[in-house]
Amino acid sequence: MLEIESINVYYSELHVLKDVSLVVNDREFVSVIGGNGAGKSTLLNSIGGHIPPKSGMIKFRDTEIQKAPAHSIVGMGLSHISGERSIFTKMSVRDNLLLGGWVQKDKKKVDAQLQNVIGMFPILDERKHQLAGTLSGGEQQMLAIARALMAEPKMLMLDEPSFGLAPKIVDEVFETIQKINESGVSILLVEQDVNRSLSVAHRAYVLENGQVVMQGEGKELLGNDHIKQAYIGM
Amino acid sequence: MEIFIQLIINGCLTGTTYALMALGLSIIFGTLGLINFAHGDFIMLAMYGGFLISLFSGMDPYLGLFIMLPISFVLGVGLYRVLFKRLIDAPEEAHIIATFGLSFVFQYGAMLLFSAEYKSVSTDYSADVFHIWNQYIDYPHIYGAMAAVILIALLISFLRYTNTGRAIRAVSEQRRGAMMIGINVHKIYAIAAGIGLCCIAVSGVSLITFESVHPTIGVHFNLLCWIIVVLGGIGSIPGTIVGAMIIAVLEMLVGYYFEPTLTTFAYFIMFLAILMIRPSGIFGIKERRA
Amino acid sequence: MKRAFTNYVVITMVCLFILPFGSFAMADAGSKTVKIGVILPLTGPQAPIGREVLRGIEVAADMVNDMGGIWNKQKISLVTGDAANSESARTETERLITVEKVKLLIGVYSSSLAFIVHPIADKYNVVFWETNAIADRLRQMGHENTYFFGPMASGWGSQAADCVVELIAPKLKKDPKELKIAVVYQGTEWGKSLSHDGFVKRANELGLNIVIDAPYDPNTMDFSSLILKIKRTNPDIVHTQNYLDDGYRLFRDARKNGLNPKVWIADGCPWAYVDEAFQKFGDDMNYVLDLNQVAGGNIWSLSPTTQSQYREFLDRYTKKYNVKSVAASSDVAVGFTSAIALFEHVLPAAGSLDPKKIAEVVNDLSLPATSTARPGGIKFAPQSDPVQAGQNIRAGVVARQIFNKKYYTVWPKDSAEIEAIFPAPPFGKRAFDDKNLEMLIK
Repeated sequence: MLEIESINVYYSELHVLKDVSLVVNDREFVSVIGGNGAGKSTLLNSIGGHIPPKSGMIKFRDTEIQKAPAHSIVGMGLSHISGERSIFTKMSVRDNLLLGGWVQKDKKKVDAQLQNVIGMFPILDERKHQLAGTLSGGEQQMLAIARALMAEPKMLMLDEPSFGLAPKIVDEVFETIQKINESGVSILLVEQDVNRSLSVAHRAYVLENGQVVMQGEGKELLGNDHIKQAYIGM
Repeated sequence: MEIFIQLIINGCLTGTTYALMALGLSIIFGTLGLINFAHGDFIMLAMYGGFLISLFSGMDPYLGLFIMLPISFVLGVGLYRVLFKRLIDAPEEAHIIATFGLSFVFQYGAMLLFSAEYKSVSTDYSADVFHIWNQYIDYPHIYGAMAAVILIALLISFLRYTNTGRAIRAVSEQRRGAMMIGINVHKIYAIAAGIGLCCIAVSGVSLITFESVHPTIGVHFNLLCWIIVVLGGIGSIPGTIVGAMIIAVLEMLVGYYFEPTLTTFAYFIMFLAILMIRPSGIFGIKERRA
Repeated sequence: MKRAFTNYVVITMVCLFILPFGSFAMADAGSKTVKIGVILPLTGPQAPIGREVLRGIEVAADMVNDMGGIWNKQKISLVTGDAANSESARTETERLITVEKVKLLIGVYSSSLAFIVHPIADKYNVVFWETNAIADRLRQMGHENTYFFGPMASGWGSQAADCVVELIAPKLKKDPKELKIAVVYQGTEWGKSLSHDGFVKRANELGLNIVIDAPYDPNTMDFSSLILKIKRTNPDIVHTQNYLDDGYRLFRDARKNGLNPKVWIADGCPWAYVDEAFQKFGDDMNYVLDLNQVAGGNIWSLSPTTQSQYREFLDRYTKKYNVKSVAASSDVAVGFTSAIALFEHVLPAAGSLDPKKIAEVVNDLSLPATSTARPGGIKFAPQSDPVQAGQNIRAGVVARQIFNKKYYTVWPKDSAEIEAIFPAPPFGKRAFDDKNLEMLIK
């Protein structure tokens, strides 16, 4: 589904990602873990077309996308949910969702997908006429996910979906992500909550100082001593 | 009481004119975040547009809109591609300097093309007055108000009920969020600039039926429109309309009951007072902290 | 955002006052020339007027040059500076004096610009021949080499009050004291000195009944509130002083709100003699009484030589600038009469541009009303006069009534071309048959 071959990404002079390679297979759930400033968000932004890599290659469903603009990448079936929740607070929940289907030009399909998504998130149906800015933090995160699903993506990238949420809500968010994955959407998840993240992921990558230092199956990494010491604090 | 009603009617009619004038600024500033200090001069050019069309074709300026609207839209898109696109991510100072430059180019260009003389369009209804229950309302202002109502209705339904309209609202609130759902923001900005110029075209055409145009008429318009847009709340169309109405009615009441020399001064004071109570304007929503 | 707004305000100020539109300079016509600086608003909002005044001055120079020039066949060459706004008025005047080295300046028409330009000329000891600039205070600033060829505002406004007594009241067949008069004017220096210090003061001396004294903000977009206020006093006469935009708007809103006085006096209102007024208001402009220092408005009473000189000017002007008629605008005649008086009566006798010599000539000048197409005649108050130093005390105004896009002088009596017609019918019923006019022509 997604193949990344040794990309190098810079923030002006700063070399953030160094020769990063990564693969996400069809229907796979992949996590990326790492400390603050390791370059996790940059990785997603780079794939999403917001910060194009200086060198290297990003292939999505056999098309090179490292030079494609962000909006066209969404059209190819790769959706991105950023860390700062990017929902439209001054618009209604329903308008947010409808806009999520922007890349889908067939209006009937948008309506059908709206029904699907609302089925998955009943709370959003209740609040559909409310301004998105009036939702609680957890509801806003659900809306961000639901809005991304409106584009019927083949793969979803999530950046810190648990950030700032109560533990109970975090559980719900993770359940939702797993459900989405089970429905056939590949997932690339960037998360601070290493424990949760590794337990749900099929595979995971560890990013340190902009380099992939370790990779393997989620459960396997969870048992790794280095990981335990550096990220879980055991 | 009769006088009071007459003042309110006149204030509201002038208010619709003001709203019409400020709408284009509201959209361009609200969506693109572009600080356009050439706005008054855009209106000036639109007035000349209405003047030229009716001079050469003899048509009513409002009919001339069928020609002017497509041209304005294309000009707006072009202007976005050539100039605004480069500006939106630049610091505010750059907006100000660039659009001021534009303003001087427009004024000087108009001076060369049309000379400094005053021009206007005489229509069959220029002098017509609607006289009812001792109230006088002139037709040019009635038609102007109708144009304003139609335009505002179209604009609000466009923004509310169409996909492109929603995208414009989305882009103006959250550019990054809009990119993440696959919206080509530059395309939407260009459309918004086009729509902004269309609003300016309507206001110019409406004005030319009761105002004379000359190359520097935009200077006063510019300040007026900015005050209206900031007063109403940036990016809010209802805010712009309410801001325009408040200023126009205030001018009328101050002119009659208080002191005709202080009309501009009065709305300036009102402007500062409202901004002290509500820094983001009447309909403004507090800006989200990133 | 707030910062942007503050920036905007600051930069607006900067641009309005510092950035000039640029300037045009004319080619020097050879070495044997008398260089005279012309400072006028040639771009910007006052350009319609400034450019007309310039044309009048140009024609005057052409006429003098074609007659052989002055002082031993030296030609007059004009160097222009553009007083588009306050700051360019300042820099352009400095440029004319320091770079172009002119010793005499003519201009600048507008009082607000005169407050900037006159002190600069004074600083460099350069003679300033002011065509207009009617604000009274300009005469009280101690500029010894500044001369005001046109009338001063208070004198001008007071003549309008005389006109009410001498012309309007008899026509309305009423005692002047019974007439209700509304006074409406810009709350600016010009407006206050003309209407308040001139007209209202004189009207009170004459015992006239001023029912409302209403200055206004010239930036007002809709004057309905002011008009309604005036309408409530039900005036017989509305005396107005306006500029361009505000003049159109005030008249428009009077028409729309059905304010129908018996006499509408446009006292020194540029808008009332620009073609645009007829475009906009058509027949409703009929019966308006335009009071102005109309150069040429007294042509019937001039001496034969002055008359033929003025006709030559009209002829040259229409040909040179390819215009149909000069009647609609008197600014060009203001330029012409001011300049020709200087070129004909002052410079030849002075023999040079030395301020002292010019002062001697000007002090001795005393010419009757028949000698200039500017109403009144020429005689200057001494520079020691505390109120009207350097003022042409004979400069006067004439009243013209408008009929079918033409102006007919109706007052003072000895310059009158036709009998005035009052009261004016209400707006919308002011169409006027030219045939009726023929009967009135004296």
